[in-house]
Amino acid sequence: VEASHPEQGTLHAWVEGELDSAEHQRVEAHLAECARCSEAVAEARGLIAGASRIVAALDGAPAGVVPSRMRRPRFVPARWAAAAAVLLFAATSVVVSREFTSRGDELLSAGNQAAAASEQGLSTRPAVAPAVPEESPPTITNAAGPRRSPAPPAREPIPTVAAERTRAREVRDGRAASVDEVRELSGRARAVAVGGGVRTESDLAGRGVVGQAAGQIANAAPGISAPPPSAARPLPPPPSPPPPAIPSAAESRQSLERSQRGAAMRLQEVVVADAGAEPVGSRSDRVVRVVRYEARPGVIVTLTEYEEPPRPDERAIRIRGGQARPQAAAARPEPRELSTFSAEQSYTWHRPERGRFYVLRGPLPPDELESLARRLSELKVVR
Amino acid sequence: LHDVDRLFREYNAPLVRYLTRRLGDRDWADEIAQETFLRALRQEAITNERAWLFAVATNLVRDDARKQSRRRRLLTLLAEEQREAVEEPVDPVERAHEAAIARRALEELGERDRVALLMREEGLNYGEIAEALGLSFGSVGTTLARARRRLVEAYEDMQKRGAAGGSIAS
Repeated sequence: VEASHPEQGTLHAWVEGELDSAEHQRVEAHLAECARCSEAVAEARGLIAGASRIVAALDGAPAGVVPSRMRRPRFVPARWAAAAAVLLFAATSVVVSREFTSRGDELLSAGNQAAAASEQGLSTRPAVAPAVPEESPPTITNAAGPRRSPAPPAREPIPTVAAERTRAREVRDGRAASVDEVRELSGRARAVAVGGGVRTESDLAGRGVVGQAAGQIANAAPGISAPPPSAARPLPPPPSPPPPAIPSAAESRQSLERSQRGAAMRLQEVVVADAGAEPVGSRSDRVVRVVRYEARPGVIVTLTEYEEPPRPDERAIRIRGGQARPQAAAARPEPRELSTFSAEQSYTWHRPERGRFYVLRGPLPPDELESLARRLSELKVVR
Repeated sequence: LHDVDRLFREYNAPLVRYLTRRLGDRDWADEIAQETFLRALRQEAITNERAWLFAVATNLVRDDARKQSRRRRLLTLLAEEQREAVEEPVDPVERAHEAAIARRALEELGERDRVALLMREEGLNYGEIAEALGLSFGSVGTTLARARRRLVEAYEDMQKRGAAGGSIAS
């Protein structure tokens, strides 16, 4: 008996009842006497169940999840000045306020915030190392706020897995869609707007004239009735020489490729302000990155990445600027949903493994914002 | 001529699930499945329907993967736009995380092992898998045993290393 231990494959077949009766009985008889093979059967059962569970887990991926191996290298060089990130953020809030509130006092308030930021926020420290790319989707720990209303499943319950993967694979294999293809595939990928937005805002921020920028934006505000995507709005062209923050052609291209992804979720990345640079002063919640998206035509949302928990009241932070003192971390162990601007909602979540905090802000209902945050997470935009 | 309606009713769901797991793309899977049923329509006689369908679908995947046409991307994008978000009962991010690891672990397998395992998960018996993949009956068990072990080990390994947490950045 000992001389004829069944092979692993035979044991699997035996467990699954796939052997003919003669062989089935032979294996059974052997197992009755062979402890070693009985153990192997137990293991086989475990492997069968385990593999089955793993395969079933494949179905759990919402569309858009990219297995990390397929991910392209991080492309945003960490060379933006800290001031750029913060001032861009401030400028963004002005734009958002202008576009989505009709009340002049709020506009004014936003302008003051920006001005405060410019006064207090310009002492940059040396850049730190760029953030390590992150592979996993972040954990949204805050599910507060109304759930999105359940949409009827468009299909039978075979779950979908990443269509994104296909594209990522193409990119990896050098078959990435060209810029033209991206445009063709997504009429909404406004390449010009992407470039223009980056240039204008980074230039303003780079020269440290956020007050001026805010003024320009504020002045321009009354003239715009139907808000176009803010990035497309012409702002005064920068004087010589162009600041280093203008993305290279390669970056624009990559930004477009991300737009291609974004097209699938009706999102466009308008500005990528990567940091890796130490943000401003002694702000307790240091901004690492600010990204703006066009959630749908004319609706801009802003994703901000922090190194520390953002304060519950963003407005207060930006008004106080460098004077803000960090609260004890224990005081805010859990990210929470924020509501800071009258027309703006925010959604906050935390990635413990990175120690990063993310806030998505925009003039959207909380449930929409939440679902957007989830999709951003799933698309690995939030890294 | 076959009763394609019946074939479709009976086999479309498992076939699409199999293909979706294999491809990671539901729309692509739908396309392949439809093409498979179209071919069944033209087929004279099919002895084992399930084995035949899975075998044809598997071959179509192989052929189709070479093309990766522009049309493919366009369709994917279009379909993506129409797809509505479905409410997830449990934490969708966590599920997505698990799924991403599972997918990576699955990618660790050889193609034949992977396909055999996915077929088995759709309920194909050893004979059908052997027929679909051109294996001998006796080697199906070996193939599955190897596939399962590798899958489980790869999965556990990735979880342990927190592979999805960034340690394998390319």
